Amino acid sequence: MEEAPWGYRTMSAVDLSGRITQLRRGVLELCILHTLTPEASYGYEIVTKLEPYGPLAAGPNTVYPLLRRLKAEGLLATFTRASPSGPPRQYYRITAEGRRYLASFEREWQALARAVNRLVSEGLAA
Amino acid sequence: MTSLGPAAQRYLSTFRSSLDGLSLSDQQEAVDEIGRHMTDAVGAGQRLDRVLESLGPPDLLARAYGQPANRVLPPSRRSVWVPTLAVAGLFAVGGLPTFVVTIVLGTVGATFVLTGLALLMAGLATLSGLIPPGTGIQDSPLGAVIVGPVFMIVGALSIALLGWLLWVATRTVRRLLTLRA
Repeated sequence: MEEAPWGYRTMSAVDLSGRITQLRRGVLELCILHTLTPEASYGYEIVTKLEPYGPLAAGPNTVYPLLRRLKAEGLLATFTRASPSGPPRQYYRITAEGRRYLASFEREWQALARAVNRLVSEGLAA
Repeated sequence: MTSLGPAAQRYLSTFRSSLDGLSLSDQQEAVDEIGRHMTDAVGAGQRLDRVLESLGPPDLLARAYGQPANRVLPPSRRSVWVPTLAVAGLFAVGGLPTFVVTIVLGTVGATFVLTGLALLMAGLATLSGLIPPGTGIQDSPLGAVIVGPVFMIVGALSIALLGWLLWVATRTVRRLLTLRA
């Protein structure tokens, strides 16, 4: 790890990949709630639904713990449905509280994204 | 998930034993779900070793189940109590002054506007001789015509100030009602 004379790490030593991962995990909550808005879904299906979205694709080791937390917070609820193959599946559906939270989250996210884009584009123009 | 073989069984066993921070029912639910994920993924044509690789080490997966949410934005769910208490506090602190100000400004406004209007009309009527001699404003009808509009302006300003104060109060209450927990 490179150390600048004044003690701070230089830019090349900053863990960009780790920070992107942190950012992605936070946004993933929004994406999962959004994915469940039209209809209920089960874990494997949620993971595969996110796969086409490149940077948003998250492994099951990220998605399942997040589903559990969203359920514990009352934003998601679960129910069991029989499956033609294997044991019954646990389905997740978004709750009324989850919908309110999602609407609020989306508004804040869009405002944040607009502000960041404006700042970055102004920085480029300067 | 015995049908998936011993590797999956070992994974789930280690996973379960690493979930010691969760209740037994939560542990069972998590194990069932991860096992179901393996079944679904293998059923979709994935190789089991790849599925286990995507899940990561079982102890790390178990640790992730116990971690708090990693949010880029704060939760914004509303609490019923916060806005209710805020509005109650606003009424407790500002209720009486608001009441007094409303009464004073409203009374002053209405009185001045009506008095000014009456003075203006009486002065004009006296000057034009529309009312019988000996009635109306005898001393200074011209003064009444001048003072009447001044009274009306003062009354209108008072009503305008009251309206502005009510608008500010309404906006404050609306902001308090949208407070987030």
